[in-house]
Amino acid sequence: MTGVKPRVLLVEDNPADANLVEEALEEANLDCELSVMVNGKQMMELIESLELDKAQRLPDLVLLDLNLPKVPGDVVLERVRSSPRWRHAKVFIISSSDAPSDRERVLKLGAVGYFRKPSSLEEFMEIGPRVRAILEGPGPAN
Amino acid sequence: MGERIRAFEWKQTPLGPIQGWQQSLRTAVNILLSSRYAMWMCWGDDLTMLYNDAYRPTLGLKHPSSLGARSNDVWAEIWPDIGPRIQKVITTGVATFDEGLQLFLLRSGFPEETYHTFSYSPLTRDDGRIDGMLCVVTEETERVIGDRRLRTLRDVAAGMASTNTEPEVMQVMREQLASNRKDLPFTLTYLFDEQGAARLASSSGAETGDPLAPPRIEAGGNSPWPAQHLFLHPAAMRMEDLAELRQLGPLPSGDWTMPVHEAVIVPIKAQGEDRPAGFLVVGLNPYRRYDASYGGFIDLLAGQIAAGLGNARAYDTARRRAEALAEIDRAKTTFFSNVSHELRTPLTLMLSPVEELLAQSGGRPSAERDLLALVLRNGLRLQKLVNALLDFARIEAGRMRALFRPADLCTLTSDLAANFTSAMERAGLQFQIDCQPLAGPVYVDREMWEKIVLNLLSNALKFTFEGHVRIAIATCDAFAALSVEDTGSGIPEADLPHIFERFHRVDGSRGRTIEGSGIGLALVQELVKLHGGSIQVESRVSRGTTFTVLIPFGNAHLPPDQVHEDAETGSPSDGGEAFTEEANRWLPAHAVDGDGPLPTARPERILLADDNADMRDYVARLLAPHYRVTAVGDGEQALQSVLADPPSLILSDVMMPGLDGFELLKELRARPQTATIPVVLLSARAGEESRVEGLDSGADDYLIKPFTARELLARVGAHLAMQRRRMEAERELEESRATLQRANEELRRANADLEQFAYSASHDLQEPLRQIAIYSQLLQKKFTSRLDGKGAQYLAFCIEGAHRMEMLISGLLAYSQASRTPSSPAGTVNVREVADTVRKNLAATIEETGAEIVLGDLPSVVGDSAPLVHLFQNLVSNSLKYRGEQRPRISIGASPDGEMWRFSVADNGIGIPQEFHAQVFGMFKRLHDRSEYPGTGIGLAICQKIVERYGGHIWVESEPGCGSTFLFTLPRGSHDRSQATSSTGGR
Repeated sequence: MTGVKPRVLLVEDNPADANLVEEALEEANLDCELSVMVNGKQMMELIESLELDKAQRLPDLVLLDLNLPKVPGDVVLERVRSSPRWRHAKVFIISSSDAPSDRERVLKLGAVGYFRKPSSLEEFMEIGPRVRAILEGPGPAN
Repeated sequence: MGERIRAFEWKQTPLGPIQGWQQSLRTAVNILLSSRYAMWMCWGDDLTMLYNDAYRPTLGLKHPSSLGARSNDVWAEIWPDIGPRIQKVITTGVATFDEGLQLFLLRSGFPEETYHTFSYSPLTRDDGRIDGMLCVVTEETERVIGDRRLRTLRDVAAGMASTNTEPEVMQVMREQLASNRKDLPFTLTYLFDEQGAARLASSSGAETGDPLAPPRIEAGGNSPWPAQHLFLHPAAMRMEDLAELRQLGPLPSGDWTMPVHEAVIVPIKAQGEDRPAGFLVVGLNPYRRYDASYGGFIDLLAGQIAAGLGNARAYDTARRRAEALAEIDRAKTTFFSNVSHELRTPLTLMLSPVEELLAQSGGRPSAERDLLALVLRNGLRLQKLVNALLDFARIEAGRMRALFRPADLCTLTSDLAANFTSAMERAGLQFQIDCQPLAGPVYVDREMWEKIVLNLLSNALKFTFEGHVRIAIATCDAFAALSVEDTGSGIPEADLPHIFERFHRVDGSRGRTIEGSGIGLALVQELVKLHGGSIQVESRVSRGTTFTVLIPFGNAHLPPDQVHEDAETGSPSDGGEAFTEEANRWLPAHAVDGDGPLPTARPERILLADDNADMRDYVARLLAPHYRVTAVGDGEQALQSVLADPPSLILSDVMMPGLDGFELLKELRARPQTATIPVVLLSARAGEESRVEGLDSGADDYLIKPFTARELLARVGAHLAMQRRRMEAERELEESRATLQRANEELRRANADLEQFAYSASHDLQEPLRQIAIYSQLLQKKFTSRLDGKGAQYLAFCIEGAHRMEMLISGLLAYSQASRTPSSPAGTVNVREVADTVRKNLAATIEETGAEIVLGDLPSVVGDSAPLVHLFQNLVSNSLKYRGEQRPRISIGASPDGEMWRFSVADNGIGIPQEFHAQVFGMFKRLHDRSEYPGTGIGLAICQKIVERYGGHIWVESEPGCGSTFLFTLPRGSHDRSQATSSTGGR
């Protein structure tokens, strides 16, 4: 890591959950630049625009909810994987679903992790250390 | 022979040693030896004999001693025949020729009848003088005798061909066997009777009264011939020595001088029987050996006799049968005649008063008049039938006296036909009368002509349902032609040849009625024959029928004594009325609803089907006071009526045109909407009872005609009452069935809705709940310091409530998942692994409570790992939760239970009172305060759901204070395909 703050992009429509993620990152003392998108459509637009504007940096990590309004999370993920520029972006899935099928599907699409939103605060806060680990792990292969 | 001749001691003979023989002798001997034709020769004064190989059979036993012997010694027995011929050749030098000369040779130990064709030619010495004879010979014995026997057989066969009786057969035997007295010096033909006594039926070559040929041999009696033995053991026998019989008198000798000394007896077979018909005795030719050929000849003769007798007997049987039939026919005619006469008298006595009564009944109630009319109508019908029978009887007895008078056939026939106009109209038929004036005078018996015309018209009306009936009179060559043509049901081809036979009726043809005697057309034919005419029929099924009657013009063909030249005047007799009156009764105008609405009209309606209009009216009248009645004339109408408007009960005649009672019944039973309508059959035919009674008829009841009014009403009433009760019961049953079905359907839908609701609700509730829970916790964590004691307390309640809510929701989710049908076929799960998973999942609680979990031998079952983990885990948790004072001990075991495994989860906890055993598996059933034992009340309900999903069942055995044992069954799985378990099941 250089002196530049890592950029984390959270795609989450529920402000309560977005707030919890922010709390967790803070608690983990993760010094990053967090931006939030509240639906899948915004994310799709961002993917498009960064394709064209190569000057802008890609986020270092995308925290993606699956249950998103307008464009669902898995479609967003597929779009990321089909984009020449975004293809290798790190995507971490945050979902309230416990279904094994959901988990398997996104891991196949190359998500770096899957976090099921728990109903205990303590458990929820674990998202902080996990995000840190990912950011400090090996970078994208571009 | 060459060898033998060379080796012979010729010097002992007048010919001297062979070396001294003249050249001419040597040459002759060489010719003899080199020929393959039979030859012999003699040489010198002593007629010394030489012969070749081919001649040896003729010599028989005389060979070889004949070589070098004197010819007159060798052939001493025939020297009178051949000596002069040899002398003649030698003296004159002229050759002889004899064809088939009979010679009795002594070459086989007896004088044998033989035949020879031969030529003697002279042999000359070296000096040219005749000194010998050469004979070239063919023996023809077999041919001559064979021909003779064949001739006899042929003649017997020819004679037999024209025999029809036993005496004729015997006559032929006598004549033909007598003509061959050489092979058959005498013959005796005996025939057995039933008891085995034999009677002499024919003989040849033996005088009448000859003791050899007793006219009768009693069974077991003494006789020259073993009759009894042959009767019991029919096989050929040979009597080689008749010497004993010779004591009875001289034996016959046939054509021979020597008497017979040997006989053969052969049985005469009876066709189709074991016992012989008789036997044939043949005295054998004393000059022939009895060989296979002779035996075969006699067997053939016996066979011919047997065949002749068989034919005669068959002929006799046929003749007797024909005579018996003729006798029966005569008897029948007499019977008809007598019976008809006897019937006519009382009929007439009945009809006249009825007619009188009817005429005077103007003021009487119409019901009474109807009854009288009914009696009269049927009386007339019976009378008509009787008259027809009587006519027949007269014709057959040859007592029918016709009176032929010249007639205007055209007008007469038109007038007769006019009788039918209204009936044809009512039947909806076009009726054409086309009578053309004729080319010559026609002589008819008026009464008979009426019968001819009326019968044909009535027949046409009976079998025609649509189209037309046409009657025509026209000239056709030398005949007046009456034709009656219809477009009716037609006559099947197979029936056409029999249509004019008395009592012949075409089965299954569609007619307005099957009433009828089958006598009408037969009578018509007889009447036409009396007129010297003929009748023909042409018909095609479903197209129609045309009858054509041809009557010759003039009177030359009629018996002169029955012809009257004075024309008859006056109108036709009233015969026409009887016919049309009857025809009218077949027509459907009578098919009307009973007697109209009645004051006490009941809802029950009865359908009555009978083709007899009177019977229909009678029954309808009986029923009318009690029921509504619909009456129809045949089965087809009945079926249509029932289908259009089902009645409460059906009364149907069995015999009806078209669809009969049984067929109607079958049709009704085959249709669900008519299958249960009670059917009562009415039967008139004796002998039909068994069929009606038969279980397979399917009728509810039957009545045999005649039946009483009371009987009819009682049966009908009983069946209607039964039907009412049956229908009520069915309706009730149907109603309750429908109600139940509706309730079930609603319940099922409600259940499905509920499950769907439970699932979605729990799912959708989870998210906000999670939020409540997690933010309460966040609040507690971050802001507790800012709250006072009460505030902190409230927040704790809030967190606890959210937690319990979460438990409930995940329980509900699990429950609704448990009741869904698995999406994929269940696999095999090793329960041991399941139990291990459970132990691991509950490790914290187990440790906390110090519980001991004991696992027995656990098998594999059919199922899925997640729900099974859920099941066991719920039960173990349950046991841990309701533990008693002492250290918890939970044992899990399994034992086979039929096709299933029975599992038990037993604990030493607080136990469950008996009255709650059934309730514990109910949803939200909690037996304890939340303060005592926290829980959702869903756990055991989920367990039950899971067990039931795999086809098992679950129950509990428990007593308070003595622990509980939960038992359940699961389908057996295979042990070798156990599946790894994973602990994704709910908690």
